[in-house]
Amino acid sequence: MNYASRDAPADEEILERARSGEDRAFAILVERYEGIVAATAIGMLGPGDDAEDVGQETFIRFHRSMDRFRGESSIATYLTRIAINLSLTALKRRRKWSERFKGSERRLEYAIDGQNPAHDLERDERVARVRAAIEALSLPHRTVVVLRLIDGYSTRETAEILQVPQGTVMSRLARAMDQLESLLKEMDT
Amino acid sequence: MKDSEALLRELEDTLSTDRRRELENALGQRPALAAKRLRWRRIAQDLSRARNVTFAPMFADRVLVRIREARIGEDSMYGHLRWMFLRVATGGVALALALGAYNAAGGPELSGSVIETLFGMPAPSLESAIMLTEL
Repeated sequence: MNYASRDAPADEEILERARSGEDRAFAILVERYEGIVAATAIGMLGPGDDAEDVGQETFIRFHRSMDRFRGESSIATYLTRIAINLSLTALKRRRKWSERFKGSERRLEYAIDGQNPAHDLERDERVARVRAAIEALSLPHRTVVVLRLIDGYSTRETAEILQVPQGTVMSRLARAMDQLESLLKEMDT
Repeated sequence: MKDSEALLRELEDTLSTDRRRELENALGQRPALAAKRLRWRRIAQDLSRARNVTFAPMFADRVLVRIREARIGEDSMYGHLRWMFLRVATGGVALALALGAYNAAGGPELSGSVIETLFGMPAPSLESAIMLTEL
């Protein structure tokens, strides 16, 4: 079902309706921000059930806390922060699981998942490779790459979401780019 | 400003005019830096394409189903606890009243205050104090 209307009302208005218990209004918010949450969760975890779970849980937590949401940050930033925290928890759980069952770790490569159908196969392949390379980054580096280069937040916004100085974002990003370069080179050979 | 930071700021389009000029000069003089800039731009471009994703269709519906399920769960638990409390509390009050009435009317012979009589509490005596110390 598509809940978004053509005369898109402002977030504040929809939020107010959602707070008063109108489920349809909350569904509009979900549709409006699904993309940013999906980019964060899939960027952090790769496509699959874990990312979907994180996506759903992000909105469920937002639903629970929307009465307390005072708009100090944008809804997108607020949701991204929840999605990042939940993704980090999911990754820790995944790591524990793979340590328990060594040999069943996720492989770095995965096929194009059909979530983003496009005609340019070569381009899709490049995107899939770069996503696979992201999975090999350490969590602090991966988080910065996802927020800055996939979600498209500025350095300042990324620093705010992660509550670290902008200089830390810059240095982590530079290090991550160097690592991505090497990883992509390895994949080519 | 380090080269890598300058490259990242350039990607973000937050380089000042002076810094941009400095970077352009450096890029003209150092082919390795220019090559790095090209590779980073390509990675950033590929990553920005990874932005256009959504979950499987009907995602909003699935979220709403989970919210409603949680709400029903909370409602039913609250209702259950309320039902239990009302019955237990009512029963407890009725029992206390009945015992109080029994004690006041024809229960064991007790001498003491009204409260002691209602609750069936024997008045403390020297004998009972001795018995307690012997226990």
